[in-house]
Amino acid sequence: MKAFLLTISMILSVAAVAGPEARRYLQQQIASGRIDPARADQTFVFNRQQYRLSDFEPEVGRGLLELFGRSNRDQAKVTLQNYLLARAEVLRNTASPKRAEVMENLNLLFDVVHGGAGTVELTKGLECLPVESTQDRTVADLLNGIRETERSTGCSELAPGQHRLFASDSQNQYTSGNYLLRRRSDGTYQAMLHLNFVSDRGSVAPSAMLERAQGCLQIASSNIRGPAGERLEIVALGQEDIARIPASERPSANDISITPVGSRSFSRAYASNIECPVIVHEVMHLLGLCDEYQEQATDMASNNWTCRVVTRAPSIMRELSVFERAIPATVTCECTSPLCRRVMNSSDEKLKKIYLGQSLSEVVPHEFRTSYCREQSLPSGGISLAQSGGSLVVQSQDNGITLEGRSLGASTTPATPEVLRRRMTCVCPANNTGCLAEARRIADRALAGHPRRGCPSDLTSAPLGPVPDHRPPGFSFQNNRITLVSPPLLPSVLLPNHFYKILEGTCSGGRSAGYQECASFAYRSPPCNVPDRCRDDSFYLGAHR
Amino acid sequence: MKFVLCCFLFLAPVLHAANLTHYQSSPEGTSLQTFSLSKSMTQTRRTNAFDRSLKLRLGTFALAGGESVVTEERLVNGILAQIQTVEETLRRRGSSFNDLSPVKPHGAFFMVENFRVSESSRIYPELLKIFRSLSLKKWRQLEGIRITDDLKSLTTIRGGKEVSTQAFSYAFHCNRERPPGYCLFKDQGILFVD
Repeated sequence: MKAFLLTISMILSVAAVAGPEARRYLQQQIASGRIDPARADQTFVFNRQQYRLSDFEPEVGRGLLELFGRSNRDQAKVTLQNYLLARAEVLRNTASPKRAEVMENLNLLFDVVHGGAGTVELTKGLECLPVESTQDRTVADLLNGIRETERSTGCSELAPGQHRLFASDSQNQYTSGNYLLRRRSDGTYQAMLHLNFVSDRGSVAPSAMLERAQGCLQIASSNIRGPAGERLEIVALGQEDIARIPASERPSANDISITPVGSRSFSRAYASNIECPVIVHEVMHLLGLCDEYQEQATDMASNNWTCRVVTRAPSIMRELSVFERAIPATVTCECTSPLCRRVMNSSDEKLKKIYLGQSLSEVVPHEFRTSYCREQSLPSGGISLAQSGGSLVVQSQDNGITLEGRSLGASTTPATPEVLRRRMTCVCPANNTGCLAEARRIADRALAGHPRRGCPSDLTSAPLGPVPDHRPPGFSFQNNRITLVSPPLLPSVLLPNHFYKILEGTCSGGRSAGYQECASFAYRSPPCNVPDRCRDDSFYLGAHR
Repeated sequence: MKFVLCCFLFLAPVLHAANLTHYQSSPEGTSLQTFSLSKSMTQTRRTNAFDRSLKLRLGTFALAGGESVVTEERLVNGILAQIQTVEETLRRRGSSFNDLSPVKPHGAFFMVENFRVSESSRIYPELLKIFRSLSLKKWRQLEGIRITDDLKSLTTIRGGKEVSTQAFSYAFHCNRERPPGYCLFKDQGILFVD
């Protein structure tokens, strides 16, 4: 009976006219994020009386307006969308007085979300990568025109000892991320980012992920060079490190979630098993670089980023294997297999050359071989060791390249070598100059005769991974361990205009102007109007001297 | 009773074909999986990133006999009706539903027909639930490729039949010489191998 009376009183109270205190209370609750107006069926209790949220649309609108003042643009956009989705039924009923209230809220909130620049800026400008950095900026900041970027310094080169602080600037269609750029007394540049890892069902602790990122960036930094050989180090800072930087130089934090093994990573979420090439790619986004890989040409992609200029030069923003090809590498392998012991303990240098020479998959980049090449096994007989000529044999053609990869069969002995052969035939489509240029680079790499960059396939021990090394290329064998030293196959992890973009941020008229122009199409949908010059990698990305 | 039945029919959403796609582009490659909810119920699978139920297979699949997607179809059409209402409202302001769907580079999202639903949308969890439910149905491969669990052979399937089988070269298709890694197949898609 008591419960019945309580229910009746609650039903009556819902219909009750709420006083100004209840309205103010609701507005505060929405503004503070404690009540979600996207749930149309929600009720709230004030002074022991229950009210329906949908009876208070004007307060809902004002609460959202306050909330937007503390939200970033993306949050505001999706909150408005969620609010409208929750009111879909009301919007459908054109005769409903409630609909007029919802439309009034839309009018109120629409301009705030879109800002002065209107829908074009909202949908396109903010989708370029440093969008992610704008997550740190509230709409209020943006509307007030606050600029953290020290634009007054323009594109001037930093002198040793000087620094520059970069931060997102959503008013600019193509902007930079949040980082501190310093120039050391020896002329080396240092780009420092505050990475704030937060666990999101991940199996790696934030401190361990920070350590991993720091290690990967240290490896990458061993060969990040500008076109004139200038060096750039990229440093990831944690909470403790950042506190040691003077407040005026401190870059804003970049929050990154740690997600479960197997989930896909992006610059704001790292899968627990993320590896160095992906970490470096994602950190480059935080430094203001955009993607350059092709979105799949389907109806789906036409809703998205088909304006992107797809580059052809070896760029880490398009192809992850650039990371491993651009750094000098030392790999150590445990010589555990019978084949390894037989080969490495023999005095036959030809056998060792085949066993430890570059493989087809190391020389021909993954994306290239799966796009333009096919592979077939050749009969293992009919070739003597004297003819084998190392692990790779190359034949260039006008329209591509054919390579023969050679490896040793498990039954190989110095007296009776078994040479296994695979042929990879790569054919470039007509007029695809990028493909032909890559084919020439592949031929150069194959002819260089460097050692493998990973352990031979019969060795089960995991390679220690590439680590910076400046020893001359070659291999050594000691204590049953093979050490393979390979030189970098590319002049730098970054292409020249990537390098300048990180140095210059968003300044106009500098050496990164071409990059900024072409990268601004990276997250746009048609109509595109991409200038022809952006199709030329030397304009977009520059060329190493 | 007649009144109840009449109201039920009136309120039931109009069923028509709808495409539900899960999409994500990342430096590894583009992941795309589409369910076409129509009479000829099909699944286009260019990735195993979103579900591992069909293991190492890419291509086109048909719903196996005895399976039904009526519930999922009704739910998707209900969501689509909501989206269309919001779209109409925003169109009058010179904006659109997609304008208010933030896209993060490498972030996953759904497409319901041509409407993009980002992870932060209130309807994303509902779509994910429907997507998972569809993934768990029994599917029969019509076209595409299949790789054996031991990664030793690659079979090509056309018209629901195996037309060829060859040795699978992990080192050629995948980014490393050995698993784990990801493998690219021209015109077919991407497979992630643990």
